[in-house]
Amino acid sequence: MMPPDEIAYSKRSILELQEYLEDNDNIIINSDILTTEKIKELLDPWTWLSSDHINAYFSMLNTKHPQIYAFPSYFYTKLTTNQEYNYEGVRRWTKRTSIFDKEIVLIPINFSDSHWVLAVLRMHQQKIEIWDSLGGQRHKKSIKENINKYLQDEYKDKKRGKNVKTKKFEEWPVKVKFRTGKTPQADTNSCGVFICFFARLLAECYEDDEIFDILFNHNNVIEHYREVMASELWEFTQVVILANDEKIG
Amino acid sequence: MSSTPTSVQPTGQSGESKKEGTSTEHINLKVVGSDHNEMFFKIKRTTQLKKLMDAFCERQGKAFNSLRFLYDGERVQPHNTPLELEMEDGDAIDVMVEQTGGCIQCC
Repeated sequence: MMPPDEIAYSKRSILELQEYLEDNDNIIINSDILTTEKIKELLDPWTWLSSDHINAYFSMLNTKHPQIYAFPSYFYTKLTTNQEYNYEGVRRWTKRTSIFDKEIVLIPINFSDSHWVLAVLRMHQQKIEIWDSLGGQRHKKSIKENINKYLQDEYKDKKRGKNVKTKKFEEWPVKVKFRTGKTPQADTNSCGVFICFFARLLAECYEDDEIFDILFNHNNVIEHYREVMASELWEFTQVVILANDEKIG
Repeated sequence: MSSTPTSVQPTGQSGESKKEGTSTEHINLKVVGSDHNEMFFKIKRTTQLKKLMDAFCERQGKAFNSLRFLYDGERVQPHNTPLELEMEDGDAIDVMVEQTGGCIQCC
């Protein structure tokens, strides 16, 4: 079965993007930049995605879905610089966001410059999930510790002086997706594409079962998703330009 | 790793910029490398941060396009100025290295 229509892409958008890049060096997504080279990499099935791709895409999701907050890929790196937990390094990164008012918080995590996984914080249910396209228990303990410490520190810092009850923060449990049985990633290139796919579907309130169904019962979902990302990013830049024009007009 | 505070004035115009006679025309910014190394810069609020980025890359011997400069987690673009980003004296700019991933090499 081909991927469902909701995650199809527009060939016309890809063409428009490619035409645009003949005369321009980059596209801008909020404060993120994707150069022509990065767009080529995004569309090349053999190239690993970089922080530029993840951050531009996640930034777009933040604008489209106010009920979620997706951190940039450098957040977890900064939080754990030199293997040491460092809240102060990221304290101001949420100056414009109250993560405790969101439904879902997404944290992309890069390991050893070779693998991307997505930590999903279900803020109402107070639990953490690790969406790793290769499955397994790697890093579960450290992610659990670091994210729980962060939540505690962030709560203390942002709620300070707001006359809220200083509640004792219970440790949130961590569950690993694709833990046993089949895992969705069969190649050696696409974990970055997977976390973008997970992020968007979770932001659009898909249930886990629906996501698994799309992944396991349709063909070439992730292969196509690179084009989906490029076309979504391009369409997003066009909407932003229109919105800005309207403001000026 | 030990930090080596250095003070540079990328504008190179410290002598001539007394017109407004205020000390708020310049601000001090701390640039924090990915290994926690810190470097200090003094820069005019209206100067494009490209100057600071170039100076940092030069001192570290790094290629400009391999690094990403962030202010409170948001990417700083070379044409941005401290004024535009509402930076305050003593604020930090984080320098991160571009990250990639595709699969696990070994575990």
